[in-house]
Amino acid sequence: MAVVLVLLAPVAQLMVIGRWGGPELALVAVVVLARAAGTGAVLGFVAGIAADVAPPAEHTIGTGALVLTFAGYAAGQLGARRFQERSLSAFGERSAAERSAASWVGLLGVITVAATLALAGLDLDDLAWQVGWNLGAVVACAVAVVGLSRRRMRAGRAVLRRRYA
Amino acid sequence: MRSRPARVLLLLAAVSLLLIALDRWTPLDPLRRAGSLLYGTTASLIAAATRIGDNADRLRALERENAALRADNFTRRQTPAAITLPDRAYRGLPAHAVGFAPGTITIDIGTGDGVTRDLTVLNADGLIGRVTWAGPTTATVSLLTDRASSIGARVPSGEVGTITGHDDLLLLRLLNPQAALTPGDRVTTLGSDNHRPYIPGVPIGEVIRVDPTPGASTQTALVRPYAALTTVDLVTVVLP
Repeated sequence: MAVVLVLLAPVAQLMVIGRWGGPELALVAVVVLARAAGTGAVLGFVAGIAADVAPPAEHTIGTGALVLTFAGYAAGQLGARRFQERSLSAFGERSAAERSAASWVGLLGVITVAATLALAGLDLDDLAWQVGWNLGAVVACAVAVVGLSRRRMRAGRAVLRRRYA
Repeated sequence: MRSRPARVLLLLAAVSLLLIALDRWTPLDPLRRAGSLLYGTTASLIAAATRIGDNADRLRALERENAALRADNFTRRQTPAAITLPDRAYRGLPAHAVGFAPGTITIDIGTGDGVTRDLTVLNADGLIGRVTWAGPTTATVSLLTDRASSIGARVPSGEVGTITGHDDLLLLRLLNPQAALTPGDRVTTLGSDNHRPYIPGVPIGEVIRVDPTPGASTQTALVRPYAALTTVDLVTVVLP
């Protein structure tokens, strides 16, 4: 599912985003969809290669793959930690802040900014716009994901209650 | 001892670096062609599906005829008589813009239709740019507003200069600092050697502001392109 989405990203990027402006869909998809470090890295690599070879393919092939591999790994690392913490939450040993959805969204934002800077390289002209677009899209998608998984939210609240009761 | 995800990361990063090195050393055109075939064809099909109407074949034939006439028209009627026109018929290939990226558009014809590098691309309003890369089913057109683009240009007074991209506008630099230039002047292409990448006489844009530069070695002016580059759809690729 995630792989299909990142493989379709270049088409939408070319036909829609290219004309009216917007985020880099491959980056957004990778960062939001990465669930574990290993698979996140693979997902990032696949998305990066797809984005590299899709027309106009003017930059060096491999740059997108390199950046998105790291972005997928980092985002997946967060996902993995989140899962581990959820399984550990039965023991109630972790701080609530670490576990909260807000920190996940925030850290994804940090990864997004870093990846955007890396992708842009020295091409600084439209960088502010690009960072804004990508960051906004990632935060919006991540918030939607958090909103969809209400169970996780409820579990978080239960932990908070237990901790501060 | 590293964990498994870390090993995956290192492996993929190494592969990426290898690709970067390979592409720098010898351009990975097979990969680009595969991307053009896969993504370009998909985009072309989607774009074609969105403009399906009745009489699609008839429309196609008319588009082809129109493109040929347009290519002919630009070079015959709008070139000042002083320039000796080579007596040759240009052939125009109609194409649709299906993909957009900063500074470039992707069109739905490629080497299979006879498109090669360095061909002039125009539409009904004026110059669009030139083909910078041709894949099997799609080609990449570098827009005239691209920062890296530089086009030989001529103004009504006969003076020549260069046109370069300047955000969404163009910057005209005339070689003669005393050249007569007023807002509203029509800027056309000068034409390249062998008509590649630019054929002569294609309208580029209209002068909107002349910069007063006393003592400078060139005269500069802002030019607005005639073609609406972000909403372009039907274009003509000129085969010299």
